[in-house]
Amino acid sequence: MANVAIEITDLTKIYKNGRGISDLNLVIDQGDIFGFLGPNGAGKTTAMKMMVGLMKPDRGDVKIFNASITEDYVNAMKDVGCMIETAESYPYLTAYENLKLYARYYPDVDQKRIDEVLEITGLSKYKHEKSKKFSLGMKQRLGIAAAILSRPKLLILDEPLNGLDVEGMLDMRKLIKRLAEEEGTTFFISSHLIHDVELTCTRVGVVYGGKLINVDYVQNILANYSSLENYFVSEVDRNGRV
Amino acid sequence: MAGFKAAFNNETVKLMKKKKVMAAAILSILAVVIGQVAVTVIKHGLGLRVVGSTEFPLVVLSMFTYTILPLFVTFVAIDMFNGEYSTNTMKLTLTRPVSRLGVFTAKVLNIALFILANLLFVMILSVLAGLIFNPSSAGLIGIIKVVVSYIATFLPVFIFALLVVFLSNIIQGGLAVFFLSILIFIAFNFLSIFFANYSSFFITTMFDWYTLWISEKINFLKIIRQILIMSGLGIMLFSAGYYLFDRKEI
Repeated sequence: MANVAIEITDLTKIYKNGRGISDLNLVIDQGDIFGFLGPNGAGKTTAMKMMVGLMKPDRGDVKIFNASITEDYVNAMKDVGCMIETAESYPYLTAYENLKLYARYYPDVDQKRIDEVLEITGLSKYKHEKSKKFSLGMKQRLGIAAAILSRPKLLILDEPLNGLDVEGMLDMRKLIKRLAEEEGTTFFISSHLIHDVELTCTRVGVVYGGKLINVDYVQNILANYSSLENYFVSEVDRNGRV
Repeated sequence: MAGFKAAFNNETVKLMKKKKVMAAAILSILAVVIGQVAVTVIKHGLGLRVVGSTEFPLVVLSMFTYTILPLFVTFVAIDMFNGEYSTNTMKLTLTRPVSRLGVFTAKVLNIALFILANLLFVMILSVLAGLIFNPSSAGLIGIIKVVVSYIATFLPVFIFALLVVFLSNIIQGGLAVFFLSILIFIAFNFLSIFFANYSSFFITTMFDWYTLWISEKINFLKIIRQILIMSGLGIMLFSAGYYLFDRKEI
């Protein structure tokens, strides 16, 4: 049996407007590239924010490599890289200075590693430019650089392809596959670009109306449906939406 | 506290990279220069000796603690909390392997560092200005009194900063926190006139408590009482600020 990277138990968070996510139960194995699919407002970002401790759940827990995010936050996050909602950076600092700040939290990350991630994300040319002058795509690349900086065993990425051009998307897809194959990195990715999820992820979960309605391996899905998009539409349809 | 050192260093770097520190430094220099020019003009124009060399830093301190210093401390505190909430950059720190207590303490200690550095900077400038323009009245006791006064001023200003931090974790908008801080600053000074018996609790009225330290006859009991009141306020405000920060949903 594969080692568990993420174990989500009864995770619930309901906002005052009634939206949110309820009773999310999910286990992600190490090495999975998990795609978290769902329409806007389904509760994807809420779930991801709770997974990285930005929000406190009403009930339930998330364990990352067996450490509880609510009780043992520092240990749970030591092998996690993430980018949630939007790729942010300190606008008054250069790309290099931004990464240098994050590097202080990880004793193994040195200057060489910062240069390496800048190279991987194609930002080497702009390393001494302040990030306030960056385009949306460049900010996204910097966000990804910050997430992979510490060579995390788990990457939680919320819409990582937002704002990227075609080349950027291809690079990103390649990067995810490479990290998963070479370093055994586990991915938890939310995206609305179903085609991209189909090409990248090994397993998907569909969330709709604040509930996880199905989880399956992409291989199995494609054996029964012509595309992931068809599967997604049929799952959402089955749960009450055309 | 795991990750605290990294969080502390990062907050220092962020603080130094912002223009507010430079603006505070420039205004501090201006305050000393203008003060010295005024003293010199009065001395030579009207023939009045306003202050001696070691009294000048105390005159500067009395002006500085009620104007530039609390203003910039408020700016810095708001920037560290509301600023990061509004630009969505707070999550960059909070998703690293560091506890929220570590992040909160790192931020608060950086505000403390800013206050202390600003006070020491103005102290050195004003002492030098005093010595240059009035060398005849310099004395060791005077210098010690100046150092004690500036260091003592740190405590009430820091407690005031904790109040701003507390407010910035209750109210979303930085501008609202800024105006509320100013209102509280003014209100405390007024209230202390009407409720003189309770003035120790209105923290802004304690900004000139350094006078207790340098008076001819030092009232130790009163100093200890004020220290205890301020420490109590500080502990309450730190705890309340952290409570809100820990529960903040980003």
